[in-house]
Amino acid sequence: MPKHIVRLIMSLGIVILLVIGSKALFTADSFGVYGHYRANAVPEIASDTPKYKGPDYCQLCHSERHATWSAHRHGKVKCEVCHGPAGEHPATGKLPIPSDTVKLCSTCHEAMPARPAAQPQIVVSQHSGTQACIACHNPHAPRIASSGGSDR
Amino acid sequence: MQELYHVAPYTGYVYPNETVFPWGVLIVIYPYITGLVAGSFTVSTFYHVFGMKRFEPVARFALLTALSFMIFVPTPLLFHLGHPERALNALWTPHLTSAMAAFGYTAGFYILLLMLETGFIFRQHIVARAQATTGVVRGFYRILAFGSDDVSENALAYDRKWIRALALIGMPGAHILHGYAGFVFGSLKAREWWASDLMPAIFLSSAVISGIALLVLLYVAVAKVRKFALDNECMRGLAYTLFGFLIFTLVLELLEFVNLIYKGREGIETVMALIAGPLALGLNIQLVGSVIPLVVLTVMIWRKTQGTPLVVGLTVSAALIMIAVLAMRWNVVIGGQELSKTMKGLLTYHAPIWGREGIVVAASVFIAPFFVLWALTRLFPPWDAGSQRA
Ligand code: HEC
Ligand code: HEC
Ligand code: HEC
Ligand code: HEC
Repeated sequence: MPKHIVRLIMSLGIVILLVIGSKALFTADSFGVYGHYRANAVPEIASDTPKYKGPDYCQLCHSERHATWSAHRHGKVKCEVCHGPAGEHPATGKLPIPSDTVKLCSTCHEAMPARPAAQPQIVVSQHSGTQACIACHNPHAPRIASSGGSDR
Repeated sequence: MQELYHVAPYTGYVYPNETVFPWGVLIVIYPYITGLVAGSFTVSTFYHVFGMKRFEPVARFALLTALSFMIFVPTPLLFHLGHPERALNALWTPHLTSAMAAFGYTAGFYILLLMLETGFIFRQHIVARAQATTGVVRGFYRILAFGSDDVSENALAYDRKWIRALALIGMPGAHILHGYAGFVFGSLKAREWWASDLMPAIFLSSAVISGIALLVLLYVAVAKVRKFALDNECMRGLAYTLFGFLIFTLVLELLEFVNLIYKGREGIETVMALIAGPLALGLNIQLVGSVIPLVVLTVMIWRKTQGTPLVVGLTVSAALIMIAVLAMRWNVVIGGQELSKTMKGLLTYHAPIWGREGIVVAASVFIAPFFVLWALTRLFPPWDAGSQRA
């Protein structure tokens, strides 16, 4: 057999040994203790602090806002959906107040095929153009009373 | 606000209850590049395995093309996942249900195979260079030659055997690699736009046409630059192959589409809204880019077109097909995600320009193989007749 073929086969053998060796070396430590995953991942994830606190938490300090909100249509939409996850707020600072409401509100209200009919939808370009939604709607009590019907 | 926009709807209660596109333009480019590999490798096997002499002028160049694109096949995934240091974890602890690990093995095996094949095909040239040069260049070529300068008839006979064997193994390899990309999409049963058993076959045959088209474009371009005449028989062979695989692709795509509409499963209204809405442009590009080449190729084959008209017609068809296949990748990858998984509404994809998953990165990943190809043709000249014929 020519020299280069012999050497090629030997090199391929070395590559295979290297691969087997690396598998032994690089497999994560606690892998496979319980199943096909890294056992250490469980305590690591469990020790994460939750980022979302839920509306009950907000009520502690923003009780007035909470009262308005829970009495109106948007009572189903949790505060942190619009204001972002609370995390350690207020220790870490104020939560953002969404400024581009057209963008915020149209993610849920822009008319779309196959969106369930029960979901209030508008065609934003016809409804209000580029005007901010909060020029007319209160984000915490969105239904406009003059349009008739109760706000609940 | 931008961050908030990203978080907000995701945690909401409103349909469509998702806004994030896990797979963006990078994942559009990924099957595109893989396909170009499968296509150009197929042309090279026509010569090296099936012995079709008319493909000889491009056979070695096709191999280099496949190699340069294959090197970049994993890059879109690495950019997308963003943890290159963990890339091999899936391979160290593979699972039978992990398509990604299967990909890692196939791709690794296939890159190795392409390198070996290239090494063998250019071995005479490598040995000659190792003898004619000095210093680092010589060292480089000597390593590639495994320190041997044996070009006796016996050694060459061994080389020929290896070339054929590698090409023979490479053929299923190339096609499995790309069939797998289709499988990854086709097996996601929650996505109506993807969940089709025809998906792997469609990916495969469109891969082959895009690869052949790329080869046609490169062949014509190189002939212009290096001022050599295009081989008429080779061009006709490429035209026939392109024509055949194009028909096959179109039939499969049509069948899949009709199947989807005719079955009319749950959520079909949303699919129709997708077709009429966000995907209309992409689908039209795909349609026009496939039908015009089909007509042009049919006419050319019917009239036995030769010479310059053949070159023009084939080049135009190839360019359109390249665009059509890219559009097809977009329509599959982005289109499938524009349908909400609940099938209650459509999402909107905005391709970012900058950033890890942006258009700039995706375009760079697509362009980089051309530079590598240029470098490879410097090291291993595929055109001059002096090097080894397999
Ligand atoms: C422990 C009391 C406390 C809790 C609980 C709390 N906040 Fe606050 N929040 C504050 C304080 C204090 C400020 C700062 C007011 C200021 O500086 O004007 C603030 C500011 C804000 C602001 C910015 C108001 C502005 O005018 O800039 C928003 C929005 C907000 N909170 C939302 C929330 C939401 C949503 C929750 C529930 C997830 C929440 N807060 C829970 C105390 C609290
Ligand atoms: C539908 C989205 C939405 C929800 C849900 C929502 N907010 Fe707001 N919130 C807004 C917008 C928009 C503003 C800005 C209003 C403005 O600028 O007039 C705002 C303003 C505020 C402010 C600042 C008030 C001010 O005018 O300075 C506080 C505090 C606040 N929200 C707390 C809450 C709390 C607490 C909840 C839950 C009980 C909640 N928000 C739920 C959208 C929302
Ligand atoms: C997370 C999704 C979400 C966002 C963001 C959101 N809404 Fe709503 N909105 C809802 C839902 C859900 C309802 C209907 C609640 C129900 O069915 O009782 C609703 C109801 C309403 C209504 C009452 C419609 C009626 O029946 O008369 C108005 C008006 C409205 N929203 C305006 C807004 C405005 C303005 C904003 C931006 C500040 C906004 N919404 C942001 C989900 C959202
Ligand atoms: C110029 C004032 C004005 C602006 C700006 C405005 N709206 Fe309204 N909107 C109204 C009025 C008035 C009604 C109630 C009358 C009606 O039902 O047509 C309404 C109704 C709605 C409804 C309930 C529709 C239904 O079918 O139940 C939704 C949802 C809504 N608006 C969302 C928005 C969103 C989102 C924006 C911002 C993109 C916005 N609005 C901006 C005046 C406004």
